[in-house]
This record gives sequence, C-alpha cells and structure tokens, in this order.
Amino acid sequence: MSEITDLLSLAWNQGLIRPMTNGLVLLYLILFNNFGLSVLVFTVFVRVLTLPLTVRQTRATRAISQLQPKLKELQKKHAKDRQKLSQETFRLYRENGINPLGCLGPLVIQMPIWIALYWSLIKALPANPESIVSLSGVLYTWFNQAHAAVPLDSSFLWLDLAHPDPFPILPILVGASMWGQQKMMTPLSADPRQRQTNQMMLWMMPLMFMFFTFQFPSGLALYWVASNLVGMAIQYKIAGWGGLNFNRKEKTDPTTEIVNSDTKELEDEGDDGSVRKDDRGSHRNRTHGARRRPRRGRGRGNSPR
Amino acid sequence: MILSRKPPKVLAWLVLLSIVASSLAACGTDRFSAEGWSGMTLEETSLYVGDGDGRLLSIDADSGALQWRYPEPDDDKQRLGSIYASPAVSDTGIYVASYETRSDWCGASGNRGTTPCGRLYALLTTTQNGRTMAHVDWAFPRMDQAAVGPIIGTPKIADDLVIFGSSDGFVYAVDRTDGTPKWSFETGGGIWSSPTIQEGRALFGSLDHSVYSLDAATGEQLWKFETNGGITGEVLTSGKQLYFGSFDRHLYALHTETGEPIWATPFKGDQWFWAGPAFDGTSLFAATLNGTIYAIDPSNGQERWSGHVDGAILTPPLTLKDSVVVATDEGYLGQFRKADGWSEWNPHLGSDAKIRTPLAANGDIVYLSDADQTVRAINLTERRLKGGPGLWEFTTDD
Repeated sequence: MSEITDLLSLAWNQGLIRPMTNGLVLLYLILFNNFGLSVLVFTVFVRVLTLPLTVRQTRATRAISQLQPKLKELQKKHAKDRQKLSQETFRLYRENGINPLGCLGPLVIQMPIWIALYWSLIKALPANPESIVSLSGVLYTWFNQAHAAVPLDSSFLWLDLAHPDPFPILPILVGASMWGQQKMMTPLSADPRQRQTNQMMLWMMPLMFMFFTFQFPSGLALYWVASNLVGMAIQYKIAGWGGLNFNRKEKTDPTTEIVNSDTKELEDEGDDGSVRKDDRGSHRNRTHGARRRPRRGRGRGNSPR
Repeated sequence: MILSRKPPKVLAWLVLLSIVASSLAACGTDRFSAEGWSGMTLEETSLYVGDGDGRLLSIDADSGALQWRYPEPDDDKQRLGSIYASPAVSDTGIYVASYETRSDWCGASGNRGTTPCGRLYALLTTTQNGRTMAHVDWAFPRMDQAAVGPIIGTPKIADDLVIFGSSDGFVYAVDRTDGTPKWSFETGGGIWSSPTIQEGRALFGSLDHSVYSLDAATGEQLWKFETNGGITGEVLTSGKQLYFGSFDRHLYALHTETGEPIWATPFKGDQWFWAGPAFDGTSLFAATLNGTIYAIDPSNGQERWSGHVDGAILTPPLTLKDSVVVATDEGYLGQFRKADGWSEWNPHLGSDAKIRTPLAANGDIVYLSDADQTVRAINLTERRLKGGPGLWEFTTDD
C-alpha cells in the first residue's frame, strides 16, 4: 500500500508539480521577470491545452441536459418501477449516443491538472521562509537560471502576489468572474427545486472564493480570475452566452423543461449568436438531431446540419 | 403536512459547501502563515530561545527548567509574532527580532496589513521576590510608527549599536540603549542573513545575490561582491578571509578587506547553501539543502570529504573536538568524524522534529530546538539523547 502511495506521490510531484513550477519560473524569466504575466500566460496556456477536454465535457453535459424532458417523462411513466426506469433511461442514453459518464471523464482528467497548477503557484511564490526552502527541491538542478532567479519578484501592478490584495479589488474580480462563468454554465430549469439549487450554487461558489481571496496570496486570485475569464470565453465559443443572456425565458411547466434554450448549437458556431425565441422548435431540433446520431454512427456531439 | 416535508436540497448543499469552505480556509491559510524557527543563544547558564508563537523564553541550561518567559501566560496579546532570529544578548538587554503577521501590529506601513512586517524589541529583566520577569524596554520602529519588513536574521551587537537586516532590503543600525536609529543601508533584495561584525565591519549577504561589507559605525559601503544566487547564510570570517555559500550552489572565499576572491574557482555543492559554513582551524564545513555536508580545504577550496543525512540542512555545521554535527528539517542528526567524514551517529528525533535553527554547544552537551517547539539538551560525546546528567527536553508551549 505504501509503495502505491509512494508511486502516486512520485508521479504527482515529478509528473505535474515539478514541470509546472519550472514552467512558471521559465515564463517568469521570459516575461521580463514579471510573475503576474507568468501566471496569466501559464493559465491561458494550460486552459488551451485542456481545451479538447473542456469541449468534450461541455458537449456531454449539454447533450444530457437536452434529454431532460424525456427523462422527466420516463420518471413519471415508471415512477413505481425503478428497474424499468433505469433500463429505459439507459436505453434513452444509448439511442442518443450518450455516455452518462462522458461529462465526468474530462473533469476527472482536468481536476489534477488544476490542483497541480494551484500547488505550483504556491511553491513558486513562497509566502514565508519555510516555503522557499521547499522550492529548492522543486527546481530542476540543471535549470541554473531558475535558481538564480529565487526569490522571484512577486510585485505585479498594485499587488504583492505572495500576499492577499490589500484592497477588495481582486476578491470582487474573482467573485464576479466566477459568478459570470457559473451563470453561463447554469442551465435553465423549470423544476423549482432544481432552480433553487442552481441559484444557491450560483451565489455560494463565488462568495466562497471571494472569502478565500481575502486570505490567500493574490497570485492565486489572479490565476482564478484568468481561469474564469478564459473559461467564459471557451463557454461562449461552445454554447453562447447561456445564462448571461438575460433575454432568455424559463418555461414553468416541469414536463416540458427547456434547458439552455437560448444557447447556440455547436453547429451554429460562427453565427451571429442570435437567440432562439421558439423554445419548442429549438428543443425539437436538438432531440431530433440527437436521435439521428446513432444511425449515422457518430456517437458524439449534437446534430450537425 | 409541514412535518412530513423533506428538508430542501438547497439546505444540504448549503451545509456541504459551508463545511468545504471552512475546512479549505483553515488548511489553506495555514500554508501561508509563518511558523518561525527561532534559534538559541547560550549566555552563561541561560538558554534564550523564541518560539513560533512569539514568546521569548529563558531556560536553565543545566536543568531545562523555565526561568522566565515573555509575555507572561496571562498577557498573550503582547506576543512578539513569529520569531526566526536568535536572540542577541548583551549587558544592555536581550534583543529579539520579529516576523509579524498581525495587521494591527504592523502599523501604518502602507501595506494595509496584508504583508508581514518586523520590529526589533529590547527586553529587560527585573527580579522581585526571587521571581524574574521581562518587559519590553523599547521597540524599533516604535509601536506608533510604521514597522519595517519582517526580520529573519539574528541581530548583532557592534559597540553601541544593534545591527540587523530586514526583508525590506535594508540593514538597520540602532542605538542599543534606546533604539534610536543611527543609519540604514539599502540593498537590492531582502536581507535574511545575520550580519557578521569583524574589525569595525558589518558583513552580510542579501537576496539580491551580493555580499556587502559596510563600515559598522557609519553604514558606508566598503565593497560588494556579486554571486549568481541569493545569500541567506551568515558570513564566516577567519583572520583576513571570509566564507559564505549562495543559492547558486557555490561556496566562496574572499579577502575581508577588499572583497577579492581567494580561490581560483568557488567550491560547487549539490544544492543551495542555506546556512553559513563553520571552521575548526583546519577544515571548512558547509552543508546544503540536499542534506550533504562537505569538508573543504580553506586554502584552495578543494573537497576533503562529503557525507549525507536525510533532509535539508538549514543550520550551520557545529564543530566539536573530533566531530562535526549537522541537523536536518526531517529530524535527523548527523555526526561525522572530522578527519575522514565517517558517519559516527545518525539518530532520528522524530518526523515532527524539524530542526532549522543553529545548534548551541556547551562542552559535551549540545542544545537544539525544533519546529515542534521542543528544546533538547543531548550528549554527542556519549551519543545519548536522554537519560544522562544534563540531558533534558522542554516544550515551549507548555
């Protein structure tokens, strides 16, 4: 057991933390000894690198969301027969070429990358003498320039990136950007309880991270802001403004729940982003497209036209 | 009807998020707080040591009994912040430098209390009815003034002055009787090394990669020598020569008067030299953060032998009669024979016993303090950790 833990720890440190920390320091050296720029560029770089995973995850989530009305129908129809309900649900997924775990896979792969980036930032920006000692073991021994650069200059704009923002600017930016990203990603729901949960999540997460930002080094907050903004850009490219489009309407009939009725279809990418007013039509098109997928042997994404 | 309703899902989410938020906040902020690693100063039979909780203690070196502590247990608001530096002791007071993270103690330092700060405190002791108590005589800067940057290196006494470096890049000299500032000198990086006072000179390293020599009385720069890495260790002087290590993994030897290099090429180690070297009259001993100790010929910088201990070495090697001792931040001690580097003893004091402060010696007894707030007196001649005369353990947060 301890050998497995050691192996995992070795893979974690040598495979992720060390390359990322050295990458951050390399960018720092390239970008005029500016760690703020290094954080911004590195965050964008990692987000672009994990873009295929993000796209897959968003598509899978949307595909499942679009089946919600049918799932509701099934739940009503087989309310008293759980086995039948699960069989039918599975059949529905299969017919539409959806793997219900499809949205989890990319997330599972991305999570360690984000956690490693978080730790790399902490390692590269020591907030106290103890942390700078541990940095010595993370930098590659042959990377002489990195050793010479320690301690990195942590000043950026008005910030000392190793310490919290003295003003509430970054906390507000973190909260606002996280709220924006959450809002874009939150599907519309006709279910009042689901709506309530969505609302709570929409506010709780940004508030929670705002609270963290008051205490954590502003370098991390800068990374959160950059990550959220890039996330919003990716989300816009894939699915439009989503919840940030305040013109969209919510249906109140739970049996005809419309999810993301105003978001752009993937095949519409590059269009002017006009909002579909005809919810029912939009919904029909999506499910129709979804039905056609298995017959075409595509098994991925939404229906192309 | 109301009683039969299920608790709303939102409530469950709320509780879950609150738990995650509070636990993340707790563990997260811990990583950014400063633990402190105050060293010890042995003066006659008293051992002065600070702890990570901002207390200064005086311990009887023979018995391990507490003589006094500042602040008193019922006055914990007066704690001095995290302490990294060893106390400096003179007839005019005990000087303690702080690494303060409490925003209300940093004053109007322009950083609104989000970055740490530092002050130098002079403590005096008084004895009444057989009980010794300490109090702050003065602080530099005064408590109503903006603090300086956090202080890591040990302050040093030079005639009438106390000289110390700060993370804000300045070296400060203040009158040791009342804390009146006398001079300050700015470098291009934080100063974590303790100054070395030698023949009217103050020698110190800076994180701006340079070693400076200043006139200790005036603060005027005499010379400067630049390396390729930060310097945190204390400069060691021996006659007209000085030695120091750098984050560029090299150990340098210079002439004290001119700052000119002595060796053809500096000695190369396997990792950063965090602490300064030690000299026994024959060999130089220097240790790296990789756990390697080197014995070096001081005349030419050639390696005589090397040894290894598990963990990073942040403390200068301690030279005894026939052996040299290092301690690591993984709780290991390494005792090596001076002549050939033979590893004589390698006890493990425990994984929590991270040793990052200089060891102090008194004959056969060696004192060490660890990050677990334990001070120990051990016997390196008899190789005993406990159970012998003069051997004790004291936990500072008792």
